[in-house]
Amino acid sequence: MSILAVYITDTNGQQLFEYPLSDSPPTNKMLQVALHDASADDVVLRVSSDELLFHRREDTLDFLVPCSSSIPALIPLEFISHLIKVLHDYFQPPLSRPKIEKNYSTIMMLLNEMIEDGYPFVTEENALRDLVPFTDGLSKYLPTLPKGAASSLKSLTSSRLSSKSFSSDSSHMRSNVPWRRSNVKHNNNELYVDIQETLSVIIPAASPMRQLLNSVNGGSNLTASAFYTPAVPQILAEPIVAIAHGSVFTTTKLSGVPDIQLILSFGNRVLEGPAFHPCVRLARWRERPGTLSFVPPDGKCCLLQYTISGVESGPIGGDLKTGLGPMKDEFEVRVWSRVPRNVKFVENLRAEVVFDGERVQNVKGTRASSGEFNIEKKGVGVWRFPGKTPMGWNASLRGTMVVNEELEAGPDGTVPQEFPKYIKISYDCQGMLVSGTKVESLRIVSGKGLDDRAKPYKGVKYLTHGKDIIIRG
Amino acid sequence: MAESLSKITAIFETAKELTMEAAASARTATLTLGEDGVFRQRDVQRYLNSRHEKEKLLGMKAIATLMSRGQDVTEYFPDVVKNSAAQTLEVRKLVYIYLLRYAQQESDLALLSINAIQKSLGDQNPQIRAMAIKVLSGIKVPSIAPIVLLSIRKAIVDMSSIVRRAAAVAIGKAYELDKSNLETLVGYLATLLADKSFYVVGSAVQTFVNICPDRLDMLHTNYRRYCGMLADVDEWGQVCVLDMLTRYVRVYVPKGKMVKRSKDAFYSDDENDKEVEEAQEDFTIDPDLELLLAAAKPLLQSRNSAVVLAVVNLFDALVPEADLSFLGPPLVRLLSGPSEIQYVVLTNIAVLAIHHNGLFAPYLKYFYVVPSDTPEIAKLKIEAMTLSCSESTVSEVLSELQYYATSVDKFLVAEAVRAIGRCAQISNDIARRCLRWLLKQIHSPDHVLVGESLTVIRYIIQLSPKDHIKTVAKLAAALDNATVPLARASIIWLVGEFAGIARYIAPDVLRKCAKGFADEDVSTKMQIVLLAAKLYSYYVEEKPAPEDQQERDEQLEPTVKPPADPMDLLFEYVMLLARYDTSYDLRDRARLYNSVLSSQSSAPIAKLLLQAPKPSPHAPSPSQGKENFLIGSSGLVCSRINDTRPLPPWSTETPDASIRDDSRVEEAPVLPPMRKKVRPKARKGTKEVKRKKVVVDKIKQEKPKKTRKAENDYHTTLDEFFGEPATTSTPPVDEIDQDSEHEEESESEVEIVVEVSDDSDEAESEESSEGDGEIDDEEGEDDDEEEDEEEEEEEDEEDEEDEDEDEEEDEIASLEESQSEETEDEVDGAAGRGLLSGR
Repeated sequence: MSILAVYITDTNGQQLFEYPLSDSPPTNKMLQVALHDASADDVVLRVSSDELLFHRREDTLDFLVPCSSSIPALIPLEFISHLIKVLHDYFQPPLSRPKIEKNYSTIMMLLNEMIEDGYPFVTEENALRDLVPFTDGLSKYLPTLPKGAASSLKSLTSSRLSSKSFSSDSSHMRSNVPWRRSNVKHNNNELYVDIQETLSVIIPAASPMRQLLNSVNGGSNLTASAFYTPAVPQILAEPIVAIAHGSVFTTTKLSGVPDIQLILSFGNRVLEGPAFHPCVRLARWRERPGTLSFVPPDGKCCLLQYTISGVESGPIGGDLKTGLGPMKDEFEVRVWSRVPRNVKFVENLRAEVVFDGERVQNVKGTRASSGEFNIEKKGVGVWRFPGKTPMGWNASLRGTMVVNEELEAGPDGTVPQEFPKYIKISYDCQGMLVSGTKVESLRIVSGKGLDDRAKPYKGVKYLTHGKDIIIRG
Repeated sequence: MAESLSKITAIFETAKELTMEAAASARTATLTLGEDGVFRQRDVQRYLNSRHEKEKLLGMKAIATLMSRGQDVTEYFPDVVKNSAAQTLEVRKLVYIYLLRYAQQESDLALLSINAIQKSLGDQNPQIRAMAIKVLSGIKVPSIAPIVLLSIRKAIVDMSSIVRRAAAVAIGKAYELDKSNLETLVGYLATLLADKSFYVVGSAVQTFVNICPDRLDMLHTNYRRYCGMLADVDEWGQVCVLDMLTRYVRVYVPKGKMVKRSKDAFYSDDENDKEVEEAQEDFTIDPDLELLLAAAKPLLQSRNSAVVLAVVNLFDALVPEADLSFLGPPLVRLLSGPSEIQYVVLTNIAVLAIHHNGLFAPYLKYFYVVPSDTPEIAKLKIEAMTLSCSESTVSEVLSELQYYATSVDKFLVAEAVRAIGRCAQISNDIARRCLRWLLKQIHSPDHVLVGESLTVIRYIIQLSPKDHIKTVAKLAAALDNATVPLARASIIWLVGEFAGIARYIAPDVLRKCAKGFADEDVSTKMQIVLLAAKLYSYYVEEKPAPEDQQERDEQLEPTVKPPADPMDLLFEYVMLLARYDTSYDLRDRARLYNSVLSSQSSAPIAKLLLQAPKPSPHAPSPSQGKENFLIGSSGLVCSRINDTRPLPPWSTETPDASIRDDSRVEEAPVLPPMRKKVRPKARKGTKEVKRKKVVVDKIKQEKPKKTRKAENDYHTTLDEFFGEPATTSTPPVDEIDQDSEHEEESESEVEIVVEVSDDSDEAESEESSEGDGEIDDEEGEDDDEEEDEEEEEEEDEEDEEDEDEDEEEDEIASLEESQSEETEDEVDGAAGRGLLSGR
């Protein structure tokens, strides 16, 4: 039950880094063969009857971890996740080939601590900071600078760098808290809270009845020019799925060992299987759900992950109508933003119009009231709205799908008209969470080494990331 | 304002200067080494042999780069080994990594470093001691096995939990090095398994799994303690401990039993009788098992998915009969992770859904396929959805599946139609509904949809052919409109297959097909020929026997020569068409059928060939057959591998629960007397006398208090450590003592410890039980006592470092020294023990 090696390659399979852990682990070449033979989606590959390959692509790098077959399948996968997190912590995302090549010795020392006897060992970023010196571009050259200059530079960057002088005495101290590095000192004490929710919504195809009602009530009917849609339709299909996956992050730059209490309110919603960072005291949560009491690791950490189903469908809505126009061959996509709830705008809004790339040759006569519509790949047209999109806004897109003429005709001798299969909307919306989750209060219960007058809590950021808002046609 | 501006510009100015300087120094520093990524051997060696630590570091970094690139750097071995006593920790670490990888190939040279490493074993810094034991055990040179054993022996009683943890790992490596030492090593491991620090236990258990997984008897006295400390063990350790405790329970703890509650008068309401009985079915479990379940359940909230699956496996393996509905939410929550983890979790969900019907019924929405899912994930989601649907949710699931079946993605179409077929098994009503929908799809232009639909239709018909004669008729009617050759071929085959039951349909179908034979696709033509052959074989069978006919021929001339039966004509006609077809395959087949059917002697063969009943196609859920794999194991995810760690079977005879009583009080004379230790034993004793009866649902609510007690007995939980209000009300006893101890500590620690003293009960118990272990390393550098003891060694080391510069000579000296080191170590070990008992 052990990890046999760790390889990092570029996306072409060319090896950048190797860290063998057993005498004769499968070589990168063997692994590439296995990867080549497998279908692209296989997560776990069989190298031999005793060896498996776990792999994951992150940024532009592939992480390959061959293991003996008796290992529980999630251990290598979680290990890769941890490794990527640690590398992000040391070298900042996104990871790239030059970053790996410049830091071979650091990565090697990290892996030396992270794996022991073929099994993950120390994987907490903070604990590793204590064990492996952190040298990024600048600090490497600090000792060669004139003394005064070095110290001034150090004070400038000290919040980012841990102590450079990693001689035997500085490592002597081990932190009491396994996830917090020792002797944390910051000149500016800061604490941020970020709550992010990723929203997935599926809105079913409107039934003919509903479409009819829509056209009557919504004001946009079949004959009117659909270029301008006067109002948001009043009857909307209820989403069949509306799930928000949330994560609560804290970024703490606090000296000493602070003890923090963060109280969240989730309204009356039920969290499905919340997961906690080890630093969170579960007993407190059990006593009073919503209370996160913890001594945080230094830097960024994910305190809590939760899932809530049955949330609202988010600040952006949309629908898809087909069979419009005189020839009944047009479709119309509408996208609108709802009336604000202390949100001013959404960003990165885009709508993908997905159709059958085999049967549809082109989309003609597209008229978009705003934004740009382009066919980006086979079967997918992307309708983008650059910059910020204000609230209480709407846009529509009309067009006709040109059916491939080589297709065989149906039983009635005509090729049926094609329409978009579904619309996929994505966006980022700062300042709100679809689940209505809120930070009620944040209190630093005790913080040795912190100035009493310091007000480190700089506030909370909410971000809703609409990832898969699917409107079925 | 102006002032601040000027300040800023000044800062920029300095920053600019600094950057320039840094760039300049960067140039000088790397100019000679590794420029353009090329390392010349001579340069690297020069750096490695430098007197300056900084240059050594550059040299080692060059080596690290070469190693990471996968180049062979054994040629640098002598130069690297010289640095094994380097002052900078970073250099030393890199040397150690080098040694770990290459010592095997240059075992003689590697021995040169042993002495320096052994010196580090006595270092004052626990971090360095841990590193030394790690390297020593990792160097794969068999001749040092005795030294490794000796240093492990010393390390397992080390003050610092870091070192003891390293020792736990080292035991595994020492076993690899020399398997004959198993007995000794297992002995050492037993000490570490009983360690009080959760930090050590995780790694000890990991080693246990690797070297002696069958010695579950070693866990008797640790079992309850592990349950108590489970929450504090690191996540990787938790996976191991959970797995091992699962195995332990199967062997040594009696299995939980379902006990039907005898009907109380209270429940005798006739109407509710059934429900009540089902809901209140009682489950008797051993208190020790209960303890484990209670300790494991909170780990479902771990952020590490491997831990979550280990807990799920534990419940699945130990109490499969209980209500496990609480396993659903943590598992579906994992579906928000990266796609690799989603895939593994879904595989497990599918298997769990086969085991436990309805476990995921409330979470169907989580299995809805979104376009960003990979095909593999989509397949598993569809499977999980199908397995979790029941009669009440089937219409929701069916409409979702029907949506997928008509989507653009081909793999999704095939998978969804098959899933509809599986849904049809739920009941006859549903089967009819599915069939109706499937029959409509035959006219779809989508070949995949048509093909899969027909396969599923055939499957549904074959389940009960007699009920579906009408369906066959409908299919035959559909043939008139079907255009897809595959569909036509399938329908014709189906009609032929049911020719024996639905007699009146098949001949007519053949008649129609024969008309348009020339325009059909080859695959359809073959089916037509086959249909003709099948029909003819039925016909021949029922025809009066030829012998009789011949006899009759002579007697009744006029009636014998009537125009041939239409069946004869039809068959001949089709055979004729096939005979002149362009496809040789078709011609061959026609010839075969013709010859088999033409002579009476081959009639039995023809019957075998054409009328053999086809076995009903089996359409199991794709994950069926994986049930034997453990939840979370790799075998579940990847087929054809040796995943051989099956759980032990439940043992029927289990020893008395008293074997799990903690007997260490008597066995450990070294430790100061512990009042606390006695109490739990007494409590446990009474607890075991009677088995408790618990409604499984309720176990969890009762839990927290009990575990809390168990935890209190052994160690402070982190919660309490950081100022959890005291749950016990015992007044502070040794407060003064504690304060004097803690005054020596550095600032940041004081704060924590002060809070502990609110809760002096726990604090004290920890003090007394861990007084010789944990505390010292927690206190860190200010521990004067320790320093006193080790001052001598430290001086030794300093001498050594001074000599560093005349390395050549030193090497030889160190080789000789390493021989004598063993005896020296003995002394050290003795000193260590003396220190222990002195406390």
